[in-house]
Amino acid sequence: MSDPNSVDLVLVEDNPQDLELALLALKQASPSLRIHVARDGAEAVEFIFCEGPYTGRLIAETPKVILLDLKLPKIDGLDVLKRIKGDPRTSAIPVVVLTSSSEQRDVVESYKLGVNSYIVKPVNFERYTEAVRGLGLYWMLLNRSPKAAH
Amino acid sequence: MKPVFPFVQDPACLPAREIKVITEVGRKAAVLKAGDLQNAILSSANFSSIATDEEGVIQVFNIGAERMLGYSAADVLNQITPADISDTQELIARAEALSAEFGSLITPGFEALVFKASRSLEDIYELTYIRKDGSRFPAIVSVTALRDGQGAIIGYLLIGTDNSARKKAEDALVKAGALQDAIFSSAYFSCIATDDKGVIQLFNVGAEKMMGYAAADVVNRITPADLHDPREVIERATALSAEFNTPIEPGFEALAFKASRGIEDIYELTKIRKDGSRFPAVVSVTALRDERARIIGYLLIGTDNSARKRAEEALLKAATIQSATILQLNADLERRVQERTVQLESANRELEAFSYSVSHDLRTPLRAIDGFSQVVLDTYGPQLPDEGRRYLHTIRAGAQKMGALIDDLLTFARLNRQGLIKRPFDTGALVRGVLDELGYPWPERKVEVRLAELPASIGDPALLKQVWVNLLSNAFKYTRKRPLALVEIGCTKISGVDTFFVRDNGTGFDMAYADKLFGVFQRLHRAEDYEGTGVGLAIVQRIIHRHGGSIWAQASVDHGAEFSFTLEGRISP
Repeated sequence: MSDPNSVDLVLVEDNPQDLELALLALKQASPSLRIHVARDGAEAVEFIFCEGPYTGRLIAETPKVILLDLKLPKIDGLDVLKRIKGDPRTSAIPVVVLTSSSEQRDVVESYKLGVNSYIVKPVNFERYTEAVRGLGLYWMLLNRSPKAAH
Repeated sequence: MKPVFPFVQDPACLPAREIKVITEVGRKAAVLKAGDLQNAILSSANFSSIATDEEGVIQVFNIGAERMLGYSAADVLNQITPADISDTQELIARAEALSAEFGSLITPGFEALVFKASRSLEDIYELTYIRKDGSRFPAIVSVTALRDGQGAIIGYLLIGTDNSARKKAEDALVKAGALQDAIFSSAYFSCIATDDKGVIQLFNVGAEKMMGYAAADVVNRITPADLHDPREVIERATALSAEFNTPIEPGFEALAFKASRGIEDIYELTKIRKDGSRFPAVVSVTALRDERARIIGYLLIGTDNSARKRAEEALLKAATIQSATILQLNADLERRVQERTVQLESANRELEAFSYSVSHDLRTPLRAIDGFSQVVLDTYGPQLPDEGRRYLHTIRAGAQKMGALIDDLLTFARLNRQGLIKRPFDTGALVRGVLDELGYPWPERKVEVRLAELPASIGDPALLKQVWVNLLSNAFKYTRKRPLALVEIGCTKISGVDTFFVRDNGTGFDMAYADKLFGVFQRLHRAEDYEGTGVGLAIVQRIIHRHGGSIWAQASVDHGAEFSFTLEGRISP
């Protein structure tokens, strides 16, 4: 997390327990993974769009995948998603929505906004780590960032 | 020797169009060929045609005579004369009149009926015929003598028509005349007759009373138009001019124009009394014509409409008040509906917010409980005593059970909000898909599924899939302890309604608790025997009820269970 220009994965999660469990699951799967954690929607936007404390960051250095909780303080997860998918500089970043909510309208809205995957966090820990690892890493491997493609 | 007329019962049935009336009168044997007209008369059911020999004995009695008189031909042929079916008093009167007229003695029998015809005189008379049952009716009878080639009389033909209808009409006319008199002398109708120019010729007592004029004031002096509101007469003339596209004078012509054209005319106008006061009148106008249909005057019959007008106004007023009341009630109702809708909408929003936060916030701590228990097991497992590890597993099982409960409850709660999207779909394909999703067949279990042909369903496929998932999961769950599980899926018709069923040979249940089967959180088995949240069948029942169908179960302990459901028509097993 020291170099904001070389981040593999952005994890946007406000709940400390879920955050810790997600980090545990990700580190277990890939110990060398460079993860940036944002604790609310505003922080996520500042990081991704190089604003506030991250003005020095280069927006072209996009993370390979963003894991996004929906119910977030300050700026809602769906709004964060809307900004990412609505901006040509960031719209190519795969976003996986990872949420407790299985509300149909959240799922529908997320897909409308262009989310790449949608996971309802299971209560069961094994299935939870499996989901986080599986989808996070899947998109990371699949995503050849525009820079890498050239 | 008597003449013999071979009688033809129903001439219409004969192949030949011609009816032959054959007479055989000794030396004067002759064949009478009747013409077309005669044929028509003889076969007509509306005329009684009776032919006799020269002495009056009936030889022909057609179908019309049978109908009119109630005798069959066999009753009368060669038996009686037409005099026997005529009113005796009338025969006597006729015989007396004829005797006087012709100065010879005429007997009050058949002779009285045919005397004129035998003298070649045209004879049509009115007579009362008597039916077989004794009832009487007025008949008009025309009598003709039948003659052979030499002009000698060989018989008579009496053609009769039933005169009852005309009699009745005449009676009615007499009554109508009486009615007319009554109307004319009534004080409640004004009857005004005019000449063809409209000048009043007759002004009855009702008109005098209504208008305040004496007949002498108006007869030969004025027209009825002078008794009307002139403004209305002008309006009427203008309207009629436009309607008939011809100029019509705003005077008497405006009142009588339609009647003069033979058009029924009843109008409402204001009449003005001698003292200048006014009243609404309904007037009916008729043209009076002479025998050559030329108009010789007009009859105006009027009634005072004030009372009806007042009643109408009162009614109108009542109706206005009533509709105002109804409008007020409607407005109140609408306001209340709006209030309720707002309340309901806000309750719905609250409920939605509640289930949203349940789905979000209740599951998060559960995940922490489950997750960190697992982390402890993974990280410190080897250092823990067996008992400690077992407790952690129990904690995890509890957390997961609660997670499942929350999920099922949310599904159940959502069923009420979710709209039904009904369409026809292939039930068999859906059930096969569900079996696949449930993982059937399982290598470690011996399960036989017998899936019969299923008819198509009409309903919400997503919701009905949930029904099949829950019913089949139950069937597989409760047959788990059978060495060979048998699950049958099929459909029968009950009272014409497709009834799907899922039958298993599993553990079943006691029907004494059947009423608890579909309740939320109701379980008929212990959790350590068969896991479950107790919401599955409640979900199933709610989906079926929302489709307008029924669901019920039959079971006995240890002998399996059968769940049946329909998608339409609430029926009971």
